[in-house]
Amino acid sequence: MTKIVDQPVLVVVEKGKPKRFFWVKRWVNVAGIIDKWNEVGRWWEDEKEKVFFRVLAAEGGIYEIYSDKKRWNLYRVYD
Amino acid sequence: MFVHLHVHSPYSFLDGASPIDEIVARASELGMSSMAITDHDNLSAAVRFVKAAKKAGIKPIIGAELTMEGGFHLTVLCRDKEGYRNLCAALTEAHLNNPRRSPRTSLDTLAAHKNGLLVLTGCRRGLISTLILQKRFSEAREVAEKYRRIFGQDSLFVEISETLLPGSRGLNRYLSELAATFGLKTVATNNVHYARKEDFFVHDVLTCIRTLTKLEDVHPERRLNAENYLKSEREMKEELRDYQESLEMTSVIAESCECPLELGVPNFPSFPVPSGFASSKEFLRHLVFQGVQSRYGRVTGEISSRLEHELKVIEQLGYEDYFLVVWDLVRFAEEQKIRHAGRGSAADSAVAYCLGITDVDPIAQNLLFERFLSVERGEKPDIDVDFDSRRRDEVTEYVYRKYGDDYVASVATYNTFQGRAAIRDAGKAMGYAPEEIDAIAKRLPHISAAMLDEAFEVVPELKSLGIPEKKLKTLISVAEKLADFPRFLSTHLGGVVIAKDPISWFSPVEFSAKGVKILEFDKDDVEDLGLVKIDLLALRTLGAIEDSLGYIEKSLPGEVLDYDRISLDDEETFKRLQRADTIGVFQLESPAQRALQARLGADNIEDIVASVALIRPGPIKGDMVEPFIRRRRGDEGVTYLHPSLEPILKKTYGVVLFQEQVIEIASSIAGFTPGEADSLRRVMTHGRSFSEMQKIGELFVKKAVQRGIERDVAEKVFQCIQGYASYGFCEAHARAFGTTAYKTAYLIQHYPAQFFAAILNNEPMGFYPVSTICVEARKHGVKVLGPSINHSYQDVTVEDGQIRLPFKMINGMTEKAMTLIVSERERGGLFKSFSDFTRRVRLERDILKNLILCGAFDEFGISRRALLWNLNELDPRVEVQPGILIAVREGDSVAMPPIADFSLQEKVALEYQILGVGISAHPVELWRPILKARGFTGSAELHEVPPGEFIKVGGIPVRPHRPPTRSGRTVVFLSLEDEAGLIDVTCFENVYKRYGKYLFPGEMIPLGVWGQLQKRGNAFSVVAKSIFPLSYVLNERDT
Repeated sequence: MTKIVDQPVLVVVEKGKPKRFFWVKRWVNVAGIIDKWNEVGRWWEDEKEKVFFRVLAAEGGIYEIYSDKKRWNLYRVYD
Repeated sequence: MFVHLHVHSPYSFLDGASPIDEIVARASELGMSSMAITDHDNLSAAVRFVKAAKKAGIKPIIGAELTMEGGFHLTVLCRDKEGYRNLCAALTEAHLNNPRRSPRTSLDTLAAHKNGLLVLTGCRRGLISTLILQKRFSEAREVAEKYRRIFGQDSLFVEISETLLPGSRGLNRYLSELAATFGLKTVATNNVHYARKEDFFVHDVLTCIRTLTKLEDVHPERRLNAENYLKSEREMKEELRDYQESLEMTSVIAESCECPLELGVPNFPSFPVPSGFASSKEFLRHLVFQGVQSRYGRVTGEISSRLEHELKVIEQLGYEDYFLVVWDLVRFAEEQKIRHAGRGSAADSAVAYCLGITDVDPIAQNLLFERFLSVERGEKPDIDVDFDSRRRDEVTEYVYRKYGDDYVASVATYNTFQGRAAIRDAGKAMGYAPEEIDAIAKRLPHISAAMLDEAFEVVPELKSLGIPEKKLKTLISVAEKLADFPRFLSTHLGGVVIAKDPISWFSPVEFSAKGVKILEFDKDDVEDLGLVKIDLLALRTLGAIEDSLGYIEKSLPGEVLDYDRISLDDEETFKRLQRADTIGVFQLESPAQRALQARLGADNIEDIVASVALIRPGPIKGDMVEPFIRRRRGDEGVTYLHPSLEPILKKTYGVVLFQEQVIEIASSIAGFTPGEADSLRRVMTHGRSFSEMQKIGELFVKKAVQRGIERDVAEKVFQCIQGYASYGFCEAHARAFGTTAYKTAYLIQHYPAQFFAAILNNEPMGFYPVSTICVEARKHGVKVLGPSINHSYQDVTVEDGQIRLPFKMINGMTEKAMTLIVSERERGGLFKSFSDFTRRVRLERDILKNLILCGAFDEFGISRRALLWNLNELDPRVEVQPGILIAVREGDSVAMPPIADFSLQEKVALEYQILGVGISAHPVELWRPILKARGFTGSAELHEVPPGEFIKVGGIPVRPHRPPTRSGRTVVFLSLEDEAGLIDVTCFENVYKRYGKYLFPGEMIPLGVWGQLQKRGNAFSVVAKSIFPLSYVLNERDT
């Protein structure tokens, strides 16, 4: 099961990759990047291109976070 | 060095978003030394790509992305010529053995044609990648093993791409491992669909168009991101840094591939020469000199030397077989009594004339053979022959029979995005409402999609659409990007290629919508491939001529008319032309031609030939029409810039009108060789660049001065022929068309019922709709009778000098229904009543309804409304299945209720709807009392009004159009059809800007025009000052 969150989050980045992010009053450390992809979104509404990361948290959870070069969002949480 | 080996061009049909030139230019900018084009299941881009790549110094590699059985992709590249032939063969099988536009290649087929091909395992839609993404790893391994077994370790490569999609990283890791397991090499590609990242949106819109979805919709074929562009080597290295060997492999593969296309190498079959002749050369000579006897009677020195000269050129260029092939086709048509006529520059050839291919005597007309063929130019001859449109396919079938199915195919054309289609398709994809799209598209002139932005700025009827400006601008910018992209392949009008080797060596073959086998290349590509195209064109006018001769024979017993020997100096025919009474005359019926005829005073065939060439964009823009008319009428003296121009320009009153004259001037004034002279013609007629024109102008003046011509005279002569730029009309062609024009005028003059009937029988043809032709026929005393259940046939007939409209003109009529009616009438005699008809003939309800409403049962004396009631009230038992009526049982009678008939207005409206013409009356005839009361002038009364007076006229608008003008301003010409004929109307730009919405409203509405009457020569026209819907006047209450 997954849950779409799509909310802005604070992310610490290292060499362009997320290292940890702040979610539910705590920092979640990224243990590894499982996948990375780009999405253009609704270009006809001037939406910006996003870079998605599916990450494995050190605590064991899987999250999808993205950056549109302006800010970071937590997109999805895997149960 | 990285090489892109998987690139789609626009010939991936709605899956490639950058023109070939742009892709090649970008590759060159990125410093690529080679590149492949791999379109979906076709090679249509091959020739254009090879030419563009070579020009840019890039080595072209030809390939394709095959859709395999099951829908999986596989990329193949041609290593050499053998590979190209094999790819053509595999693609041909994929197309011909599967439903149209769903080609599927079987692995067996590809295996059978694997030689010379390199196989790449494909993108994410390749079978191996698909299985891996579905985590069916063992199956993926089995497929890899199978591919290796079939194609071999050296010809199979595992394709690795990083297009930043979910799962790509894992997929590439597994693919790499798989390759290592089976000892295969990996190769990096980027599955390119557009040249630059910013072109992604074009691709996305194209994908929506292709998948019939909207931007808001989700579809698996829509790309998630904009990564499928032509990436630089640096970008590719960065994306695939863990797969360096796959990047290096691209250049190894590129080096092992050679360009398989040798452009320009001729490939024409040998004509099967009959026994007794040693060669095609000997046989051609025999036929030509045999033809001299029938064409000229005897061979004079002039004829003999001209023929010898032409034959020498033909032999030197090796085109004897080509002439024999065309001769044979014409011979076949002659034998089968299929009317035909040669057109184009072939009429410059005495050999073509003697072979019976053309009907213009180039020696008598002093036509220049070099315009058609010259050793220096070495171009392929281009002979176009028109055939009766209904029988052209018989000639095409003969070609297939004679040369073999595998050696003949039709040339393709690319249906490309023009303005309207681009707006419609982009609009749909962008979620516009159908009525919004309709409103824009129907008002849009026929322009290139590249000119849309400009059109929305200047076309007045596009100003009042009621669509928010920003929304409209987005649509325009997207639609403009689609300009000239191919949408699909279709069949060229008549181009057929006959090759010495099997046609599938040159191109894959597929079926067109009409079921014809077509190449994947158009006429230009075909020529570059060294194939010779023969144009077997269908001309409806020839069908009309043939029909009229049949009508004459049937309806006028004893009348003998030899069409081929109609005298070219018939006074009555010329008088008709002088009256500008030319509606229905081939090439001379448009408003512009009628205006010309009214002033020209044509009294010989030369005037007709000049007329055909004069009303063209070039002469109009070049301001040649007025000087020609003034000189022809003697209002202005004929002068020549140099005495040596007199013999060349005498027949056109000192005005340069034909391409042949440009060539002759260039050689007599400047001493140009035939090749130089033809280059000059080409520069001028193809609207080349200013610098090219300047360059050739300098050469002209220099060479003329060397020959003793004064510099300023030479410069003036060049300026004069420069004014000719973009005429693009050759005398030979004008002469061929002019002769047909004259003869059709002769037929209308002397046999109006028969020729108007023939025009109607061949509709759609010519400039005017059925209603206008009927008005014209009536104007000339020929009654037009509506369809009759007892007297009509499938085709138009002539009864006692009257035209009887046929069943085929009835909306919704079918072949089957027509055959039923006619055969039952022939079997059981005339129908005695409506009941008798419904008893004997079973028809669909809608057809029967339309027969009633257009008056086909009027002869039984029962009102149309009563019959319609009867149709609705028929006992349901007689309906065996929905919509099908069967015969009422013998003896049953159908009661006819006393119902009042439709009003005359209703009848006419219904007739218009069903037949395209009013039979009971012309609509304007019904409005005439009101129009007269409101001070409107009818077409028949124009001659009573003094020119210069302001008048009101009204009618049904016919063919509003915006031809090019000398000033470059938009002028709209249209005609208003009333009960007695046409009133020509001219709208200048200021009026058009105000009233354009009425002229091009989407649906044609009857119009009123207030304007000034103008008389030029024998013709009247109204210069519009205001335009309004006629309904404003008709619904106005008397005050």
